[in-house]
Amino acid sequence: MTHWASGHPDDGALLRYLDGELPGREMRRVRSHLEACWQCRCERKALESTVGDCVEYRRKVLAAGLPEPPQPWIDLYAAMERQDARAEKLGWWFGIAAGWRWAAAVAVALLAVVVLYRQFERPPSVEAAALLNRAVAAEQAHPAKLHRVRIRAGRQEFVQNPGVRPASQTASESALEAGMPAGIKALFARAHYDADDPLSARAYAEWREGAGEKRDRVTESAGQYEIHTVVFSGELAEASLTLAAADLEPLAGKLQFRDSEFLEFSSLDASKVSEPPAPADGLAVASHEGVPMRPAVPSRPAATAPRPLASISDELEVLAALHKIGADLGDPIQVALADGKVAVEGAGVAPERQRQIHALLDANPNVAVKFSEPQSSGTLPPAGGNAPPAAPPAAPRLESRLEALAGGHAQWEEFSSQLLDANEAAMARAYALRRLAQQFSQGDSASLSPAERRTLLALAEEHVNAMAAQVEAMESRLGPVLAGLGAPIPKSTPAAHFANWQSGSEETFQAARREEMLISLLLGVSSGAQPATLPADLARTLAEVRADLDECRRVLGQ
Amino acid sequence: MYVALKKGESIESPRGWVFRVAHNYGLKLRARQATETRFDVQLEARLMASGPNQEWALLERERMERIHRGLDGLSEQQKRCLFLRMEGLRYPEIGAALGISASAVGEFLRRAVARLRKADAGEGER
Repeated sequence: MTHWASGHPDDGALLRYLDGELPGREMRRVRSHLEACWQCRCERKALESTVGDCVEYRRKVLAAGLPEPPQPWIDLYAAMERQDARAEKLGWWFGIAAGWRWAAAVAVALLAVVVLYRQFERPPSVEAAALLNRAVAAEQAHPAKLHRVRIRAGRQEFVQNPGVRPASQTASESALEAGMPAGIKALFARAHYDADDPLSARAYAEWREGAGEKRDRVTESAGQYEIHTVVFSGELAEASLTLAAADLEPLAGKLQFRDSEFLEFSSLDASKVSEPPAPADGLAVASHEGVPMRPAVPSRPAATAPRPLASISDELEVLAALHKIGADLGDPIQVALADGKVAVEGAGVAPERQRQIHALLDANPNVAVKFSEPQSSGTLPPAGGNAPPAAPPAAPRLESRLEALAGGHAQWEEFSSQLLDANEAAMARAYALRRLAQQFSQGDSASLSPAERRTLLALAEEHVNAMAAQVEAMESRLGPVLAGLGAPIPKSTPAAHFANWQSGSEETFQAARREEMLISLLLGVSSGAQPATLPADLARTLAEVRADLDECRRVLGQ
Repeated sequence: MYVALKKGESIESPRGWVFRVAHNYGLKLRARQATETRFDVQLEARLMASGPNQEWALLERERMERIHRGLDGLSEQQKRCLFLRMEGLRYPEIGAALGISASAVGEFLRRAVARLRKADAGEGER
C-alpha cells in the first residue's frame, strides 16, 4: 500500500516506483503525480542521486576491491557429469562401503581412545601466563561482570561485593559485608594478595608475578580451566584459580599457606557456578562465624505459573483476527512464531491501522505486536491547491488502439482504472493466500484440531473465491478488448493439478504475477516494450490463473 | 543447484536461491576470519590509483569515503538489501534470499536510502 503524505507520495513509494515495484494502479498514480509536481521530481532526482552514489561506490570500490577467484572456473558441465557418475556409482559403492564402514568405525573408536589417553597424559597445552593474560584482557573488556564473592578462611566467612551491587542482593546479606574480618584481612596481607578484588585474574596475575620461584600447571575439565601454582618460597605453598572456559571469568580460587591456613574465594553468581566448592578438610560450612549463608536461590521467584508457549494454533487465531479487519490484504504485516509468542510485526503501517491491530491483539498475552514507525523524509511541504493538472502520458501505439476500442479517452481511463482496481484486489488475495500456505504447511495442518483446520481452510477458500471473482471480472472486461486486438480466445482451459492447496497457491501466485506484469504492459503502466504477442499472452495467462484457482477450490473442497 | 534439482527439490527463484547460498557461505567465511584487514587502507590505495589528476582523485576519494561511512552506518539487514538490489535483484528475489517479505525489503531499502541521504547531508553541512 502506497503512503501519500500531504498529497505527495512518501519516499518509500517513490523508491518503489523507481524500482518498478509498485502495483500497476499505484505506479500510474505516482507517475501522473510526478509529471505535475516539481517538488516530487526534485525528490526523485535526489533519490536517484543517492542510488547513483551507491552504484558508483559498488563499481569503483567494491568491485575493484574484490580479490581474484581462488581458482579458475572449472568446467561446470564436467562437474555435472561427475555428479551424475557419482550418483550412478553410489549404488554399488554402498555395497562395498558397508564392509569398510565397520572398519572405519572401529578405527575412529580406537583413535578416540588414543586421543583421550594422550589428553590426560600430555602436559597442558595452555600456558598459565598466556591464559592469565587473556583472562585479564577479558576482565578489562567486560568490567560489568563483577560479582559477589564468598571468602572463607578457617571458621570465618565473608561475602564481598567488588564494586557493583547486584539487584538480587538483599538487606540480610549486607550484614556480612559490613567489613572484612580482621583475620581474613591479615591472611591476604601475609599472602601479598589483593584483598579488594581477590576473585580476579588481575589479582592472581599480580600475585604470581611477585611470587618468586614457582611452577604452574593448567588443567581443563568440565568447561573450566584451573591454574595451579606451586611456590617454592614465601608464606604461600600453592594457589589456584578456576576460570570458565567460555569467557575466562574467574569462578573460584584458593590460597594455601605453609602452616595449613588457607583462603578460599568463590563466585556467588549462580549462573556461573554449577556447584558450590567443597568445604575445606575438617570444616563444616555451618561452623563459620557471622550470619549463616543463604543458599543461592533466585531473589525474585516467579509470581505466576509459566505461560505456555504459543503454538501454530495461536498463530492461526491471530491471522483469522487480522483477516476480520482486512489487515492480511496488502498491509506490510508479518506474523510468525518467535520466542514462544506470536510476533506480529509491521514496517511502515498506517497509524490508524496500527491502533486497530493493537486494540485487536494486545489483550492476548501470547501475542507481541511491534511496529516500526515510518520515517518520512520530511522534505515535502503540503501540496498546494494550485498544482497544474496532470498532463496525460504519451500514449504508446497499443494504448491508442485500446483507447479507440474503448470508445474514447474518458472511457479508456475508466476502463483501465477498473482493470487496475480488479488486478490490485486479485493480487492482494494472491499474496494473502500464498502467505497462508507458507505459514501452514501440510505438516502443520495435521497438528491442528478439526475446528482449527476448518478455520484455516475457510480462510484459504475465501481468498481463492475473492480472487476468482476479480479474475472473472478482469476476463469479462478484457475479453472484447483482447479480441479486438486480435488475440485468439483460448479454446480450452489449461489443465492444472495440485497435490494440495498449499502448492496450488504458489502456482496461482506465480501465474497472477505474470498476469499483473502483462496487464501493466498492456495499459502502458510499465515502460517496457509491448511484444506483438502481448494480447494473446495475457488472454492465455488469465485462463491459467482461472484454471489454477478452480483447481485450488477443488483441492480445498476435498 | 544442479545437485538440488537432481534430487527433485524445487527452486522457486533460482537467482534468489543462488544469492541465498552465496550469502550463507559468505557469512560462514566471515565468521571463520579471525581478523579483517582495515578497509580504509585498501580504499585509499584504490582511489589514489585511479582518476585523471590529483585534484580529481582527492575529491573522488573524499566522496567515496563519505559514501563508505554512510554505508557503514546502516544496519546489517539494510546493507544486505541494498547490496542485493545493486546486484539487480527484485524485491521478491531479495526477500527470498534473506527470508523476509518483499514489503519488508522495500522498507529496509527506504530506510537505507533515507539514512544515506541524511548522512550525506550531515557531512555536507560540516
